[in-house]
Amino acid sequence: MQIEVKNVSYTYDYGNKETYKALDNVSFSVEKGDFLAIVGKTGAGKSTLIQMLNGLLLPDEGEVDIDDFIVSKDHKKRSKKLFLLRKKVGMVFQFPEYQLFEETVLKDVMFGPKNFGLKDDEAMAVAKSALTSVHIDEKYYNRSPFELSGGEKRKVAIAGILASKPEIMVLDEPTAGLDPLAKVDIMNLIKELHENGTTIILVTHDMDVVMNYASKVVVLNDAKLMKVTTPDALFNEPDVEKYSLEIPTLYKFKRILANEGFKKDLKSVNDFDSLIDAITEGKNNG
Amino acid sequence: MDRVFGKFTNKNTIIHHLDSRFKIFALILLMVIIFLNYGDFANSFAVLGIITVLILIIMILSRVNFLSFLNNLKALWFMMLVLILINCLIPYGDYSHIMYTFPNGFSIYWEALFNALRVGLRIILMVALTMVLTSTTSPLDITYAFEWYLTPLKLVKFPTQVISMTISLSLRFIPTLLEEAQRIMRAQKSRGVDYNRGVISKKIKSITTLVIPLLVSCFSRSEELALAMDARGYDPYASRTRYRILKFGLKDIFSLVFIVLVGGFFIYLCVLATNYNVNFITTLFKQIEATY
Repeated sequence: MQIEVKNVSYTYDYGNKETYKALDNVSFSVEKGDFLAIVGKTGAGKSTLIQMLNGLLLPDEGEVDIDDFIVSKDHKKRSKKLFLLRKKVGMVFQFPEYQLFEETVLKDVMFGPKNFGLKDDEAMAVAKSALTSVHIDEKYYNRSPFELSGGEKRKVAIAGILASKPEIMVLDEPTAGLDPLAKVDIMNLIKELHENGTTIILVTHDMDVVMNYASKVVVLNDAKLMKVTTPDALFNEPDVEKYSLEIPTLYKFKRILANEGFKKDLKSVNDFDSLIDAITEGKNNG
Repeated sequence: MDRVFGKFTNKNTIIHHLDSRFKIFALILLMVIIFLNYGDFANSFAVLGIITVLILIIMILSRVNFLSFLNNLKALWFMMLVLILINCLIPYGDYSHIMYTFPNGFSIYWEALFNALRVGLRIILMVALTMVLTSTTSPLDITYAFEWYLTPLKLVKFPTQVISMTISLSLRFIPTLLEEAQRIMRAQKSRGVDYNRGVISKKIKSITTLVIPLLVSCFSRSEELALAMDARGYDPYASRTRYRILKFGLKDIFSLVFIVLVGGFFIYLCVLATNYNVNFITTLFKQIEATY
């Protein structure tokens, strides 16, 4: 077990007795090498939960165990240990391009590794390797990050996290606001990272992304954990809409076909190629 | 965002219900009396003590968040240190009570310390008053009040509505920018930035990691906002009507009379102390002491 979230609760205190319970007794675990998607409607507690994974928020109750590193309310926020945890768990926030600040792309990517104690030449080497892995060409290295396009900025921001070589990558809606091509580009990049052994935890509202990339899915609703399951099992549920989730396009097709009287069982169909095969087969068999 | 300093919260208190124009007038008057000269240190501290009690009562009446206020006072420590240093290193006036003399003959006076404390207390009171205004008055009402005060300038073709829209937008975006700042700080923390520790040079670098993205986001937001306003046909010089009309009620009149009397009393104390060298409060205390 790489991450174990144990009975975690968290309440935001806005002062003047105004509070908001964002997480209520949430427990689940993540194995090394998992590709986990956290889904749920806005305000379900997804972003609060992932911030606990690198100690940016500390739970009011319960604890998060990350490779025997315990994040709990007993932690001091200024603890040096949390600093080490942040090296282990890379966090890519929503619209990460807003965290860019250095004069050049290369310097910005080097910033994280230098903070984590690497020397200039070592930081430059890992930064270049991270930029290569996100497919940013060398000609961009000395440009200002603010001159890049939205998708490129996001790639640079992701490279900035990757350069610290985290074992776990947590991404909060990494494709939000991107055009379809840039979205596929970023998701393929995340897939590559996963294939290279990084554990991926992804918060998203895009159920097509969940279906195509995730191996496991955590469903949150109104601060509570609804279920931990596989994307296929989740979207095959007849009443999946009760979690305020949109059904992926493939499963919409499957439902339409079933409603139109298509007799072949489509439960095992989990990609478009198999769906086309199933339809062709069904057609040939009359 | 947790406990934003001075953020408007709608509550059912007498201060919340007062007219925003009155509140701005009272704020200015109270700030003036805070900064008036009340003679010697004893008299000054006594008068400032009375003003502190008055402001505390206002804070209690308006049910502001004391915790947030105290938390934000922590940020003033550096300014207090500078104040004390400047006052100690540049003695002026009739400083005579030596606190400490260095081997080279340079002396630090008690008056320097008292002066720094007096200025510090004045600043704290000013911060408290501003907090009361912003947490009990909606940004829109503050803007309306400013616009009302600027009305006479319309006679000389001063673009009051443009100024008030600018103020209104600035106030509107303070909480948004605070949230944005927090978001950027969290993102930078996950890249290993430590905003709490490190030597000065590292801290300056940490601040850069916040300020530059915040400025970029600020400019991009303002550009988007300007375009969105243009797209909806905003004309800065058009005469406009408004949904909410400010009303100056009976309670505002009573409050105005009260605050003017209070202001008058303190101005009187100032005149006594500066023009006639009568340290009224000190004299009063001495008389009480003599009586008992």
